[in-house]
Amino acid sequence: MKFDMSDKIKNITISILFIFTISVVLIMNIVKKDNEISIAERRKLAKFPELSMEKFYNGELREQFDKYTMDQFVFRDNFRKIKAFVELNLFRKKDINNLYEYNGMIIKQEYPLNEKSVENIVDKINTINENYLNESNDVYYTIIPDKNYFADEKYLKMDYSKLQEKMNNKLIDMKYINIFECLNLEDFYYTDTHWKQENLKKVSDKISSEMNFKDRIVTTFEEKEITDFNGVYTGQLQVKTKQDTIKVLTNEIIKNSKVYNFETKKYDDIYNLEKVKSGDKYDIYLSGATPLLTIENKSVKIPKKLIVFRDSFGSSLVPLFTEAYSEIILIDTRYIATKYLKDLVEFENADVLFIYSTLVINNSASLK
Amino acid sequence: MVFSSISFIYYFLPCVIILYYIIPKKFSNLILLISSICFYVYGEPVYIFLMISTTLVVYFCSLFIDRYRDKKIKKLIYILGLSIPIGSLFVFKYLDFITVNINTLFQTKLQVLELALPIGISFYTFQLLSYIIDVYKGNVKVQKSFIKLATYVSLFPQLIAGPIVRYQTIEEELDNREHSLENFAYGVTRFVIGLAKKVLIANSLGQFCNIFLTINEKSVIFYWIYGISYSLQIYYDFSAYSDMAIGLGRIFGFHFLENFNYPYISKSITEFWRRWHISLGSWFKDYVYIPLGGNRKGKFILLRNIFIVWLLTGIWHGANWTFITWGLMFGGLLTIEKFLIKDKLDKVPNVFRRIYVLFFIMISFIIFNSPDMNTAINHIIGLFGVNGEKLINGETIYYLRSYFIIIVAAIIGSTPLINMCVKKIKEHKNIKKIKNVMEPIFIIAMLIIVTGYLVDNSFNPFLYFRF
Repeated sequence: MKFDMSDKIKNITISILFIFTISVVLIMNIVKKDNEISIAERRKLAKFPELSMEKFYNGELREQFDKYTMDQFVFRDNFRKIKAFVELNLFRKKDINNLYEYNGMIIKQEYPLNEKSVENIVDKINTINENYLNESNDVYYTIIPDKNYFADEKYLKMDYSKLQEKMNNKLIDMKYINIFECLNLEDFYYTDTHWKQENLKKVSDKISSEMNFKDRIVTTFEEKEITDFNGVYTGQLQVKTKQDTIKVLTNEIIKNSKVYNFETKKYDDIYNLEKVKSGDKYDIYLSGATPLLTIENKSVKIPKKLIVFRDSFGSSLVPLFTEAYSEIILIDTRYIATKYLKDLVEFENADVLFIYSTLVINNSASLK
Repeated sequence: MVFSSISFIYYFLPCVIILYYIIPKKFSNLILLISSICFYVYGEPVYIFLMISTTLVVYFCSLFIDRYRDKKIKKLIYILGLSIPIGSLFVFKYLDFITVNINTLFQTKLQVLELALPIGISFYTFQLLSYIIDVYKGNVKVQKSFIKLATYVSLFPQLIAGPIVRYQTIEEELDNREHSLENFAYGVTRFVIGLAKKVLIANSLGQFCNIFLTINEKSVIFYWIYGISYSLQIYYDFSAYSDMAIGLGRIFGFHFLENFNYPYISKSITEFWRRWHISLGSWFKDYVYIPLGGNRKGKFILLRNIFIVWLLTGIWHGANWTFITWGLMFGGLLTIEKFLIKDKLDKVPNVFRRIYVLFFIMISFIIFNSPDMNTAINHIIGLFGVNGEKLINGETIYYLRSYFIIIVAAIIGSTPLINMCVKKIKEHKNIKKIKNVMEPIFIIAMLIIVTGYLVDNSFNPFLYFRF
């Protein structure tokens, strides 16, 4: 076969480019400083493993080194963007790791319905009801739909009707407040799981109406823009989305109320503006994930208590109830086991509200 | 270590290539041997000694066989040289399977050893066996250098996933191989294409198959798409590893034989096995089928030989009744083709012949991928709606839409269509020049995309900051 000059140049180019690429990347990976954390994944990145013969023989060293090479790869986030681009645009996959983009919004495809998880949370709620609550308590529960509920029918959705039905049938001695009709997709952040506080007036009205405290919320709210916000899904799915903004609904009642944190033993404002500097700005609402908080409103003349068992969605909703109660206790049983509550919380004569998102209900193993 | 990993591509490979090409040629085999041992130890720190010791036994036995060619003791040493590798393969891969079945059958309580399967044992054992058999028969000269023999056995391009390289294939190249830009560039191209096949296609199809296996809401169509997808996945996975092995071999001057030749265009099962895992099929033909008499000793012996070969072929893939069934199924189909339908099959239009082949291949791979025969049967009858599932459902439509392009690309890529187009392009001088410009760009683009996929493998997000 006649050897073409251009074939020679092609061969030289391929050979040099390949050796150059893999060698330069090797050098860059060795030389560059390791990153501590991944903002996109909200976790620490793997460090270079400690060398030991035991780890070498049991394979742990290999696993840790492999993880390290991937976590610390140079320009890692850019390479991940390339993968996302290829999967979504070339292969036209509908989701990546069950995340998809819809009208400029990133949505998690929470599917299928985990019936065992629903039964688990029902058991936990009934146990709390049985152990801590009595006739002096008016007990309610509500379910917050996740964004996938509102998305196009072409995506897979869990059976939300079955979820509600299971909970309605199995939860004992408590009233269901259905807020599904109060919400639509625009009420949620584009890049985060959570809902926007500025859109929750209708949810607050529904719940307060059903719980008979709507007439105690008379002061109007003022909407204040706080900061741009890149939610939890930013960086998980490398696509272009609309920009989120954190806004708060505030008034004199909220400004004058304080939040006591049982973990830190400190008081904070309801909207902790120091969290603007944190990795997750949604933590502005009630300072983020904590096991036990109390909102104290000294402006209420007749003491009235509300106890809320909640997940993170409650952080932005519950401040809207502040005016109606002298004391609102927020309990997140992902961070505190319910057996400790008898020493920390007085349940007598309190209104009780269980408020969980479908995401937590469908993955309730984290509840203690 | 696997080829499709950051640690191999961006840590191990550049070091080995640079070392190999800067160190004097007389140390080439030593560099490859040390690299291959490091490669193996990385994934298998304990059983490296098994591979080395088995190689040593075969090395010494072969030397003795060569030394005592005219003596009766030659046969004894030959049997020893065969028994040790076969014995170690049996103990690590098959002993527990035999034990469990004896316990089930005879209600005994024999101890199950639960030994981990050493990586690559099926491949290097067969390579050692082919070497000692060829030495015994006088087909190859005995290799007096242990380093060269060990290099052949442990050569990292083909150590863990084949192809099964016969010693005679690279006998001369162990002593004297050509290093050229053409070889190097061909090797790089072949390696990167194999990498792309594995990471972009095979792994994606694997995700789809996993979805099928874990999802509760199946449908009849979902069973069919699973069968097709798994057949494609295993082809891409296996042929990709062969591509990468051949490519890596070429980078270091070795010419391995092709292991796959578009098996899914076959018009008969007989033809399929001339195109699929060629190195395994030819190994069993040359070292089992022909020595047993092949087709030269009458019909009964032929049927026996077919049964033995396909039983062993099934068993070679794994210690499970599914693999044995898979192997025997092909034995049965080949027997039927050979004795009952050969003339009739030749008269059937090609399209129907291909449908017949693809259908049974799909069924065989459904069995192959099942953890047990009950699951295999369930999946097969699911194809025909016997499980009571709907013809199609929302989940099937969703996942079919999500993986449609990958599946179609995989189907097209499994045919010679792309290769034919490339050949046509090469015939036109001007287009060939453009191709020569595009090819390096394509190779690096593939490498970059594959790197994106590999780096994303450690993606593990949390809702809340974990520190």
